[in-house]
Amino acid sequence: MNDSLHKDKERSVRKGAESSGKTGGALFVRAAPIVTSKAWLGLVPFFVFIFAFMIIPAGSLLIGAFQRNDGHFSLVNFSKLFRPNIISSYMVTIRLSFVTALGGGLFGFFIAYAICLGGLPKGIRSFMSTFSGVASNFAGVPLAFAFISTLGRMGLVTVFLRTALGIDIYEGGFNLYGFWGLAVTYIYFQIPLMVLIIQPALDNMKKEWREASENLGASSLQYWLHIGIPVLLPSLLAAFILLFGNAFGAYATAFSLTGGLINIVPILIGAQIRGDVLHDPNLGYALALGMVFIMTLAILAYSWLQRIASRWMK
Amino acid sequence: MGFIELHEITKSFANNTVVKNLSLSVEEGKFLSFLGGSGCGKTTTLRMIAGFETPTSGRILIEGKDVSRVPPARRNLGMVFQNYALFPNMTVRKNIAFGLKIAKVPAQEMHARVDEMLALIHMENYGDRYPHQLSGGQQQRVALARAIAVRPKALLLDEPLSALDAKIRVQLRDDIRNIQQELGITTIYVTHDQEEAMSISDQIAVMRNGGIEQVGTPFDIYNTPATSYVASFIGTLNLLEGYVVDAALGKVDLNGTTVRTVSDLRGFEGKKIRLTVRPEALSVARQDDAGSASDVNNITGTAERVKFLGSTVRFVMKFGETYMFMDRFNSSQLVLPKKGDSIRVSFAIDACRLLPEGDAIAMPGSGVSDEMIQ
Amino acid sequence: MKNGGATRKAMSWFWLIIGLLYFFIPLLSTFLFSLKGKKGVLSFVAYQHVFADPKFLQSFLFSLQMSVYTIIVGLVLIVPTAILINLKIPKAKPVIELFSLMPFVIPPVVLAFGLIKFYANPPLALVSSPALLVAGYVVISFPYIYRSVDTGLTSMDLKVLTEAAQSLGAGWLSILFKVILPNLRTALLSATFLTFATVIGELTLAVLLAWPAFGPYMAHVGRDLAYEPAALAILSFMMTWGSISLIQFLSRGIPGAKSEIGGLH
Repeated sequence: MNDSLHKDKERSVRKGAESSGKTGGALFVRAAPIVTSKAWLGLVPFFVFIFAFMIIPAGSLLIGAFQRNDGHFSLVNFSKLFRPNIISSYMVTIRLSFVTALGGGLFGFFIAYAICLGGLPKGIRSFMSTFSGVASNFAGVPLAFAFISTLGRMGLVTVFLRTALGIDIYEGGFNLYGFWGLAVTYIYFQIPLMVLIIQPALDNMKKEWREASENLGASSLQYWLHIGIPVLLPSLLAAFILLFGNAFGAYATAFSLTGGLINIVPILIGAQIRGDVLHDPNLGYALALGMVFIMTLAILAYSWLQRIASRWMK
Repeated sequence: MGFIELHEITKSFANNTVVKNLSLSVEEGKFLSFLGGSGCGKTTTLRMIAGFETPTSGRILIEGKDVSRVPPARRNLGMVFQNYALFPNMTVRKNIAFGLKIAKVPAQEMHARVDEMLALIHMENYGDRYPHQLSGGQQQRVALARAIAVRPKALLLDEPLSALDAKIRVQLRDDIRNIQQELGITTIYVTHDQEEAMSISDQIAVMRNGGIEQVGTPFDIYNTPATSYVASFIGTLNLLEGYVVDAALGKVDLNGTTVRTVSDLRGFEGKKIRLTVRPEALSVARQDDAGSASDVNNITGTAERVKFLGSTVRFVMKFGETYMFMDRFNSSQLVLPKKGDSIRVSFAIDACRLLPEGDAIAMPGSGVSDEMIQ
Repeated sequence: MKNGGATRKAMSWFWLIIGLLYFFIPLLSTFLFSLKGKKGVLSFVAYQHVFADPKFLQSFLFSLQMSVYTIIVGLVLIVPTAILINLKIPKAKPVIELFSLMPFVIPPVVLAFGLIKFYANPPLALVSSPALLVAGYVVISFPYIYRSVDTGLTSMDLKVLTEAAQSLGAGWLSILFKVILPNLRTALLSATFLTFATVIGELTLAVLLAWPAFGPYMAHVGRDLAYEPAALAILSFMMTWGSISLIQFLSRGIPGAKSEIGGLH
């Protein structure tokens, strides 16, 4: 096997030398389309890098996940994944990702629709695009601070609601450092991300489709039911999965908002790395593997749904 | 009373008036085309009839009822768009059935009607295809079937052929006309292509600057254009400048040659005027009528080049500083002049029309610049 | 129709205004909060405290340095790859696009974990070197860089341009430096600012690999102080705004050059 590979390489090298000999003159070789095998060589640095710093390290977690602390093969880490607190942290993370992807997705879709097709003045769209770019990148520590200043116990909106309107949101059960607080904060970057990713799909909606359906007697609702939503569905699904993953892997915002106290998977993995609590790296590997597994499932589910939803495309 | 009537329709967007005071009546079962260049208001007028735009002022009547404020979904008109606008997520069958489904036509009747439509457009085997699997011409056929499946009161077509190849364009326009005749449906058609308009329509409304220049049959529009714009927009025109030498007898001096016209030239004594002659009205003069015949004019030019247009051959000549076209039927017996040959052409005195000075023209067929003959 | 259009427009304004409120109320509150450093009056005292802290400048400069390395390594690695793929090996495009989805399947926290585990032991003990942090940042920003460069390349008809240059006798180096890169200027600048905006306040990798970067510094301040974090949030919002506005400004008027500015966290 190794041998034959080697031979192949030799042959192709020789072939390369022959062809350059035939065309003669280095100048010609340079200008002629490069032999594909040579072009592939140009991709080597990139692939080496990606493998060295992404694929292999992530893959090493896979091996670690199947090992006991003493290095022996074991499935014990996976059985640990079924402990109630870990199951619940997966559930919370999935619920958080789902809620913020759905909420941010819907909200972002309405805003994107308003600025793309809503007949608003032109300047608004470019302003909102720029702003969405900023807001979707405005995450992590500063975003957490912004929400603490707004909806924390001393936050301006919290204080305003209490003093001016007599509504105490914390009495009412809201807690910025809990599930819904985190959800509201995540939605802050989910909305603009949705606005950015759904715009191209909305731009592809032809106004004649709406006109043709009106002309054939359909109401606005019927247009959306029969044409608008089915046409947008593949893009909406893609956007939803993207938003889901975006929330699912988010660490920085949750970490700086709750100081690592909320029970979501990224925080749990972070804790395993930092050795804060019950330092058990192999459990950490299994947790990480669980995350990759769920994201892979999400992508697979997405591509399956996508295939169904986009039967009518190429 | 017309089947569709427009009464002094005006449409303005912001500070731009696109359609001005336009009135028109279309009889039941007729095929009328709006013909004009871009920005003349033809599409806006059609969209007002369809209900996608609301007139700023004026009324639109269909079967005598004012529909100016009726939403498009309640007008029961079929519309075909330039870019087909088929619903991409539906098969051909479902596209055609869409309007019937909305109208809650019973399933059995709906299927029968869709089959009937597929047969009408000769696409029986394409029912389960999606729009992206069809060619442009096929998509437009389906769009046509979708529009007429609901049995609309009238059919509106907005430049339906302009996105298609020349060959399919010609074929499909005949199909549209045949289907229109078969169903006897009142049809309004928007186009910028004069040949298309003339071949397909009962009536043509030539539009310019948001108004109608002339309404008439293709025959009238071509042979007795009401304005210089219509004359120059439709077909090709030779434009000749000259001076009136005898107003009473209608004599005009063109570059040293005196020609006669049947136009009333009183009031133009000694003035510069413009005459027009269609290229097909010119013929090669016979040797014996050396200017003596009372009802023909003869002028002599030099041959520049010959253009083959298929069934006709266009001789491009230079008369003084003016280029002129003469069209002749193509035949193998035709003797083609060489560049620089002198050609003597004649035309009937009633073939030339007077163009008042300053009257707008669309696009001269010849005469003004030699760009046209390149 | 007139009615439908009016309703649609009213709904559009409604959603737009709700959206703007959602975006701007936190910003406004944060700004006002940041001015309350001195009791009873509005002042910029919190900002003064921020700037007076030597660790602010140290950590910021550290992150700035890391972002410069990330940008250099990222561009050197990805630009030639993207050009090669667009020009010579379109077959490899789906592979690269699959890889550009990977950072999404492997969130930063998992990536950090993998890097720590794999590079902890002697043959490859990189954990204590900032090179590992930069490598992680390159992985994180790879999708953005790749997509900006790819958009830039597809919008300029690379094949025709290189063939034209070849027919005029240009060699590969002069094609790269005189034809492709100048036309890619906007895409490269977009990628640069986007990477900067991502790396400068990055927390996950920095905190897990234990580097004194700007992100961990901000998180630390947030634990101990009240008004200074708000001031930091405003400052970093302005920084992000500046970077993104520059991208938008630069890619103005270039057909098809819609810059990739979505952030994934």
